[in-house]
Amino acid sequence: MRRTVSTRAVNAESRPDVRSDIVSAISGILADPGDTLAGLNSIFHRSGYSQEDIWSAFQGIDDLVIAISEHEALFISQSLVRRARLNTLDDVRDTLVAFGLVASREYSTTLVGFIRMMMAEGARNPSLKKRVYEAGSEIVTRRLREFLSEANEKGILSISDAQVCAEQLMGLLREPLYQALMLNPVTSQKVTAADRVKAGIERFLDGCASARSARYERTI
Amino acid sequence: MNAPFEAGRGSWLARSSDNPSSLKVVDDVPSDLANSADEHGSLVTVDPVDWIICFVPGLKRQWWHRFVHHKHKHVFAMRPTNTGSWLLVEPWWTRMMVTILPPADAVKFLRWGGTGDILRVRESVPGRASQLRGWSNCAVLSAFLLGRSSWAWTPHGLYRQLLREKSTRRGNVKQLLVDQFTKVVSHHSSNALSVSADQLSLPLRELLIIIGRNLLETMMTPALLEVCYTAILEADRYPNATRVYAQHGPRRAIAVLTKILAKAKQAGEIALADCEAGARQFLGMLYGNIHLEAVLQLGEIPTLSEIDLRARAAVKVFLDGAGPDEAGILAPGPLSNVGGSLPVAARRAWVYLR
Repeated sequence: MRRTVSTRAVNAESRPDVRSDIVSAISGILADPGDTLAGLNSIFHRSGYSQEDIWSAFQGIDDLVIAISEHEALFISQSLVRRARLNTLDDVRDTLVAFGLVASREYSTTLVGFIRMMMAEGARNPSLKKRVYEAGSEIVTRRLREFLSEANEKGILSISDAQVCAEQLMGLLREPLYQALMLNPVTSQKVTAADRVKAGIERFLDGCASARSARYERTI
Repeated sequence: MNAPFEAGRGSWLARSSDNPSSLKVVDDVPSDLANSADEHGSLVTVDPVDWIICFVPGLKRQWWHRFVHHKHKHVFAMRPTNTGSWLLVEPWWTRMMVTILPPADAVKFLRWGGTGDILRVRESVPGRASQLRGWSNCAVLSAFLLGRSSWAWTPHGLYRQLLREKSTRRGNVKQLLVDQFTKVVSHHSSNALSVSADQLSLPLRELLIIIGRNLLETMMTPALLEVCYTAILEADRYPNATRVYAQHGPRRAIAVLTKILAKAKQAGEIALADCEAGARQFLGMLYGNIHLEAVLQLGEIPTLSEIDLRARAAVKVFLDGAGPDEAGILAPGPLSNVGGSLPVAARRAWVYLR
C-alpha cells in the first residue's frame, strides 16, 4: 500500500479502466442514501476494491475525490454535449429536460453523500474542497452556460447573462439536494421528480407572468 | 485585583457598595469612568446569564485520571450567542482558553459534553467566589466563573454542588442545538420576510425583487451560513436541529412566497397551477450557485449590488422566462427607489407575512 508517488502516478496512468471502474463503484456507494455518515474506509470497503487496489490506481485521496467529481460532471452534462440539434425552442426544452432529469437524480442520490464527504474532508483540506467544486459543479455550469449562449446566439432564447441564467437553472434543479441534505427522511412531494423537473424547465423557459400583467408591467 | 469586587459577607477585601459616588477615585482614572461604576464596581451592569457547564471524560489518558470520577475528569463552560456562534471558556493547565466558536466547532465541544454530563447553570452576579481560593484547576476556575463559593477541588465535586441548586437544569446536546438554531434562524427569517403594508400593494414584479433581495442578503450573512453548514454536516447526528433550520429558514420563505404568489394568481398577474411549487422554483433561482458556494466557503460573499442584480435576474426569468420576446427590464433604474435597498435592521417595524 505504501508506494512512492512516482510509482502511483505510473500505475494511475497505465490503468485508466481500473480508475474508471473504481470511480463508478464508489459513486454507487455514495448514491446509497442509507449510509450518509459512512467514513471513507467504510466506503472503500463496500466498493469491492481493496485499499491497495485503490491507492495503486490513484495518487491519493485528493486524486480520487476529484476523479469522482469529474465523473459526475461528465455524467450530468452529457445531454448538453451530445445533443442532436438546436434549432427550435422545443429542442432547447428537450435538451434541458434530459439534462435536468439526470441532474435532479444525481442531486438526490450520489451528490448528497459526495457533498457531505466534501464538507467533512474540506474541514481538514480546504483547497481540496475548491478543486472538487471546480472539477464538478463549475464544469456543469460552464457547459450549461455554453448551451444557453448558443441558443441565445441563434435567437431561440433571449437572455442577457448566460452565466447567471445557468446558475439560476442549476439552483432550480438543486432542490432535491437541499431536501436530502436537510430533511431526513425527505418529505414526500405531490409530484414525481420527472414532473417537477419538467415544470421547472417550463418555468425557466416560459416564466409565469400572465400576458396581460407582463404587458402592463413592462410599460411601467 | 482591579476587577469588580465583591461586597459579600465576611470578605475582608469587600468595600461598601451602597453609594458608588462615595468610592475613592483613583487619580489615574478619568472621573467619568470612575463615576459610572455600578454598585458592584463594574463599568457595565450585565444581567446574570445561563452557562452550559460540561463535565467530561478526558480526551487523552492522563496519569491522574485514576483519582477522579470516571466521567467527570474535566469541566468547561459554554454559552450560545445571538449569532449562532458559542462562547467557550475552557481552563487548561497552562492558560484559560476563552474564544468564540462557530457552530460547527461548538458542536464538537457539545458532543464531548454529551459524553459526560451537561448542566445549565445561572451565573451569580456579583458572585460569592474569591480569588484567594487558590489552586486554579478547571473545577475551581469554573466555580469562579459562575461566581460560586465552593470548596470543591474536582469536576465531580463541583457537579454535585451545582446539582444541589434548585435552579440548575440538566441539558442535552440535541435540545441545545434545536434552541440555538430556532433562535438564530427565526430571527433572520423574520427580518428577511418583512415587508411594509405599502410594499404589499406594489406590482408583483417589484415585490418579488424586494423580497428576493432581502432573502439573498439574509442568506449570505455569515451567521446563517455557518448555521446552514452545521445543519447539513450534522443532519444525521442531530436531525431535529437540521429540521428546525429548514422549518424556520427555507420552508418559512417558501410559505411566505406561496402566499404572495397565490394573491398574484388571484389578481390575474400570474398563471401558476401550483403556487408552492412556484415559490420553490423562485427560491431555487435565487439560490443559483452562490448559496451553495457560500455554504461551502468557496468564494467571496456577493456584494449588495451583486445581490440586487441577481434578485432582479431571478425575478425576470421567473416571470418572463428565458425564451424569446423579452423586454429589457434588468436595468435597476426604475426600481431603485421603490422600497429602496433595504437594510435588514430597518425592517423591524414592518408587517411580517405569516
